[in-house]
Formats: sequence, structure tokens, C-alpha cells
Amino acid sequence: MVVREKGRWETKGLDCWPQFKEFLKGRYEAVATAHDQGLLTVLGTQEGGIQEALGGGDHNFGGEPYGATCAYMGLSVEFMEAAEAKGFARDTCAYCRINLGAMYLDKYAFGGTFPKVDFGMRKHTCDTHAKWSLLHSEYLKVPYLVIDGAPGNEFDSEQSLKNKAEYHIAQQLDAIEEIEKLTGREFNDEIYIQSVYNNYRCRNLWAQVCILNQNIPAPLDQKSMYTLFEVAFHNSVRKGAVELMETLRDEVEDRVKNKIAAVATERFRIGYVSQPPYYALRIFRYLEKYGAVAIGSRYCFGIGEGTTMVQDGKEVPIPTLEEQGIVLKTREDAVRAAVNQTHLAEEIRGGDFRYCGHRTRESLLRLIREWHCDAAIMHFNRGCQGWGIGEPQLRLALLENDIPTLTFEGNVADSREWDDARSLARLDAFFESQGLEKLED
Amino acid sequence: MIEKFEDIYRNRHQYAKDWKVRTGGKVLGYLCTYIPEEIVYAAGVLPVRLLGSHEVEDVTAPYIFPMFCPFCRDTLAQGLKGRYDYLDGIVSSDTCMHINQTFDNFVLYCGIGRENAFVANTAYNVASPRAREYQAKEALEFKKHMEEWTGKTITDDDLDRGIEIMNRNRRLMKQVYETRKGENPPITGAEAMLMVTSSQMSDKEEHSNIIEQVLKGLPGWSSDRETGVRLMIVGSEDDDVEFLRMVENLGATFVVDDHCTGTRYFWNEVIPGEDRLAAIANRYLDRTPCPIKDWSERRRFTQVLRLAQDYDVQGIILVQQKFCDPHELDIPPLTTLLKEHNFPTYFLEFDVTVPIGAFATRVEAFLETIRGEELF
Repeated sequence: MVVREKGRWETKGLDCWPQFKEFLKGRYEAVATAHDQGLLTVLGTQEGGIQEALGGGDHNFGGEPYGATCAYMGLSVEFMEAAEAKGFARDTCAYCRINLGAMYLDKYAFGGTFPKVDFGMRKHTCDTHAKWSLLHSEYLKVPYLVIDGAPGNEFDSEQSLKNKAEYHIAQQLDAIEEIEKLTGREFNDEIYIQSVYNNYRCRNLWAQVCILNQNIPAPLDQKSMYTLFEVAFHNSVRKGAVELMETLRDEVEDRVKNKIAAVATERFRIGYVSQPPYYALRIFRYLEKYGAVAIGSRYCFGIGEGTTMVQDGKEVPIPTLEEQGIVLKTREDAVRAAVNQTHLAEEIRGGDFRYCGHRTRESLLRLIREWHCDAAIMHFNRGCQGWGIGEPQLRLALLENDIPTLTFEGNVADSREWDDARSLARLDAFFESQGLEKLED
Repeated sequence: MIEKFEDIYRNRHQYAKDWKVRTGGKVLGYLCTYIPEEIVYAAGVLPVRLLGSHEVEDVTAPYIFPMFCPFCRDTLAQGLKGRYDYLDGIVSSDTCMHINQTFDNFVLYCGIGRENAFVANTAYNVASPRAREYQAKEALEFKKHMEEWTGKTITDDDLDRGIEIMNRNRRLMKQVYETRKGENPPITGAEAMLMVTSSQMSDKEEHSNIIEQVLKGLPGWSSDRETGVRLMIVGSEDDDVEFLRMVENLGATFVVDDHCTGTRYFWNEVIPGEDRLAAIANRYLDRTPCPIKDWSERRRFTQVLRLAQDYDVQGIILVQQKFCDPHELDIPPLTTLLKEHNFPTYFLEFDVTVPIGAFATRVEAFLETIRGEELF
């Protein structure tokens, strides 16, 4: 095992942190009032600017971020119990139960009643997505559009990957025409095209930030990254998002140059696997008591999801459209670019979302290696089947490669499935096994 | 003749091994009924559905979460225990992530190997017009995989043969199901389940021959058992024959079902067309959808209701394999719909093994509430 010197690094908080918090808080407030202001509001996946292109606001009422935020705010149990009272099983997706429960209670986590929406829309990549949004749309009596995301897998032929991309593109174009009819609004192709450019830029910048975390000491810690990645992943189309990500990238570069650490006592680096227990993010601060820093995860890096690609065996940012020399002139150009961002060719795609075979295992091992991790911590997450799939296999891959690995059980958003004392005790035992003692109580 | 179905079901592994010796052919395991078996038969390969054994197991935890689908865990247990060591290959239809994980594990840890593993991609958005072209293209890709794997070119004649093998079997099973509409169904629900599951594990030409013999013997045949309460079983993958037998010993008969070891597997046929692959693709798009693909029109609900009405069902048991989100998310709206149409329902959660005694008590109570109408 590698245990570095108990040196102290210079540390300080991110200068741009308050800007990120303000930017993201504004998103939820906008959702609450948008419909009353005559702004179109879509419930579900925000497909890169579709809402804005229809003259809607740039607010995003996506289910997953809302679910995670509710968990963080301690509201998830109330909402989930409301969904369970309607007959939904307790082992269904935690985010789904939170969103459904909030709807049934007609309650919004940020005050007032559940936001009014104009229609439901969902890109279906995990098994639950389309069913969850269907329930929303049926209850709220709004139209519902769903797109089969058809993600690639390592068993696909080159032709199958092309078939999937074309299928996705065709559905997306159909959906836009359908939405125009449903809303009576004209889809502004220019706005949509700009949003696709911005999405590429934001994700490219986020990838740069994540790769900068390969440095020792790590300039960022995993807990902070859960806030930062929201801008690139779900808010890239909003005005100011690209500039904010540039600010972050520049500041992180500066931190690397001046060896400013996220954790002053960094001596042990951890690659994290799966989503966090959003109601118990304090565990990441607990790691720091041992001088350990979680440097990120495939989940928050967006590996395999339009952020990075594999080149010469390493994770690199997916180039922006400008860097690729791609000019978007038409709606179809833009949809094609948006789809191609996630429908990467097999040799450059880092991991498959719906499978956990060779490719995904290699993706995790690459993260451990390239980010200089000493160990891995896995959250055996009962609340999300999409990110839970393959975790036992990933654990086996880590063990087969002699990477010390700790697992703990929990749930991304259902705090009833979390045992604080037990989880912290496991962390204590794990660090003891790695020869680390607590540096502070 | 009906006992032949159970014979195949109970001795599935020996059946497949004997088939390999007899024919010299390859056996391709599959997990989900969205696999275009027509193409597999066209390649001269035997498709066999991988199912569990309903025994308590302790081998899968390192490979698949205990909180994942019991069917997937149970099936994987069979692979890890070497019971499927005769498989030459395995195919996934990418229908659900839990099955995908079992598939990955078979490839990595059950001796299948990457070179013998295939994915026959199927559309999720089955209601989209775009799905037809996509699925037909993927059927072509799967055909190419089979050709490469077997070294045999699949011709239109081969596809016609594969289509007819599957269609004939579907047609015959549907004829058997038709007889269950009568006042005294000649076969029980357990026997019907054995018929369908044995179809999934055997050469369908042989299986169809058995069904033809069964059908010959059915007219005029009367059972010495009381039909009792006419039930329907609705739910996730289920081949828990012992559960059905238990219920049917309590004064009831399952007369129809909606699950993928039942009507969802065989109810519609391929409508032949010049473009064979498109015809095959359309059949899988048009079949009663698995809940994972049933949006937005909820065609499955329409089919469940239709079957319940056509088969004069008095009560419906909803069986839910734990941890299956798509089926679980259907349960509340489906229950509401059935209630609106005056069909009483009873919900049971299933796992690899079930508490048969406790279930018997609960089902008895359900049957009593149904029979209660007859007392007054």
C-alpha cells in the first residue's frame, strides 16, 4: 500500500464556489415560477436546449437533480412515503419515488406547490426513466414524449452503433416536430444550435477540470464536485454556464500550478464508485480526517456520457465542436451533434451504461490508474439500478488488480437505508487496514 | 401427453445435451423473450431460455446484487454452478439492465467467452414509427452474427423455415389456450405454464408435435377436478409451477395469464412478408409489450383487460418479481384499471423461493372473498 508523508499542503476554498451556488439555486426558483410567467416548462430530461428553443426559460426540471437535492435537504423520506402510500414498491428507483411523491403531495422542495408543467419529456436510457415520466405525465394530464436513447454496448457491431445513432436522431427530430404541434410554438433552430455548442463546451471544460484532478495534491474533492458538475451536466444551456465553467477551469489550473489542495493533509487518494448517499455527504469530510481525498468517480466525471473519450489508452476531453471543425447550420446538424456526443465509437467510448463487461471494468481501472488512486470506495447503491448495475463485477475487477476496495451499502436518496455508525465504522476499519491513523477527531 | 412438457421442463439440461449429440448443432442460451428466435432457428441453432431452479442459492452475491431481480440471480446461479456448461453461446436482447448483468456474468464467469456472446438489440420505443426501421436493421445485424458464428449463410428459405417453426408453435399453443375459455378448462394453469416453458427449452418442431397430440386428445376430454374460481396470473417472468399448483389445489384454476412464460411469449405471430427480417422485427414490436417497453399507450394494460374479459376471469393474482422497476411501476395503475372493471386483484411479491405456506393462507383468503359473492 502507498502511504505518503503526512505533509501539509496549502488549501483554501474555491473562489468561484459562491457563483456556482447562486447559479444553481436560481435554477430551482425559476422552475417554480416559470409556468405562471408564460414560460414553457418541460418535466423530465432537458435535451440540450429544447425548452429554450420553444421560447421557454432555461430552467431545468429534471428528475434526477431534483431527487438528489431533495435527499440533500432531508425531504426525500416524506416524498417517498407518499409514493409508497400509492402502492409503489420501496425498492423502486429512489429518485422516481421522490419525484412522484412530491407530485402526489403537490409540494415543491423549494416552497409552494408542485410546479406546473407543459409536457413531459424523457430520454430513456435506464429501465425506469420512461415509466417514471409516463406516470408523471398521466397524473398531471400533460402530453408525453419519450426518446429511446439506444446507448451502445461493447457487443455492438460498427453498423449497430450507426443504426442506434440514426434511430436516436430520427426520434429526436420527430419529437421536435411533435412538440411544435403540441405547443403551437415555433422551434427556434438558432437557439437550439447554440445550446448544442454550449453543451459541448461545458462538458469539455468539465472534462478538463476532472483531468486536472489527476494532479497531486488534488485541487478538488469529490463532495465539491457534486455541486460543480451540475452546471455542465444539467445546466449547460443556461446563459452564463460556459463562462462559469471557464472560470472554474482557470481557477483549478491555478490551484494545480500553486499546489493548492482540496484536502491539506492529502496522503491517500480514493477513487469513488457510484453515486453518493446525497443525504450523508459528510462521509467525504470523514475521509479527510485520515488525510484521504476522494478524487472523483465515473459518475461525476461523466465517463461514457459525453464528457471524455479514450485516446491512446487515456481519458481525454471530447473536443468541442469548434475544435472538431464541425459547423452546425441546421436543426438536423445540431441533433446529430448532440446524439453523437454520447454515441461514441467503441474504441473511444469509456464504458457502457447498461452493461458491465470488459469495457466498463477497464474504464474504472483506468480511472484508478490515471488519477493515481491508492484505493477504491464503492457505494453499493440500492436506490439506482442504472448506477448500481455491475458494481459487484467492478469490485471483482478491482480485487483482481490488487486495488484495496471498501464497500458500504446504502441508497442514493433514501436515508432510511443508511446506517451512519456502521458505514463510518467500516471506513475506520478500512483505513486502519491501510496503515492510516486519524489525524483529527 | 401433457406430462411430456413437465419431463422437458424438469430435465431441460439433459434434453439440450441430447439434442446436441443427436444433431451436432449448437445451443444458444437466451434470457429474454425478445430474442428473434426465428433467426436462431434459421441458423440451425437451438435457442434455449435460461431459467432458474427456485432453490436457495449462495453463489451469486459476488457477481450480482442481492437486490437485483430474483429471476436474474437464480438464472446466474445455474450458470455459476455449471449446469449450463453445454451452452455454445449466449444472446441478450438488451431488454433490461438486470438481465444484462446476468448476461455479462455468464460471459465473464460461466465459461461462455466474449466470442460466443451476442446482443440482438431491440427497440424500447416500440410505439415509435422509427422503431420499425431500426429493429429491422438490428435483425440484419443479428443474422450476420449468427452467420459468422455458425459459418452458415442464412437464406430467405432458412428464414421462412425459422418463421414457420416459431409461428406453428405459437399457433398451436394459442389453440390450447382457446380451450381454457370453456367452463371446464381441460388443462390447469400449471400445465399450461409447463407447456410454454418447455417450448422455450426445446426444439420447437418436436414441441409442436407434442402439442398436436395433446390437441387431438382434448375434445371430449373432461377433467375430474372442479374448475373453481377462474383466475388470471399477471406479472413479471414467472415459472414458479409449484406456486400455481398450490393455488389450483385450493379450489381455483388459472385460465389465462400475462407474463413472459405465458401469453406474452407466443400470442402473436410473424406476418410473413417479402422482407423477412422486417416481418420478424415487426412481430416483436407488435407483441404484448414487456412493461419496460410499454409507453406511452399502455398496450399491455389493454391486452390484460381483454384476456381477463375473454376468459371470464373472476380474480387476478399480480405476481411481482422483487426489484423489477418496470413491472413495479405498472402495478398501481394496473390495479386501479382492473378495479375499475370489477376485477378483484391480489398482489404477491416473489423471490427466488417463495413462502408457499404463507402464500397459501393469503390466496385462500383472496379466493374466499371472491366466492363470498356466491353465498348470498
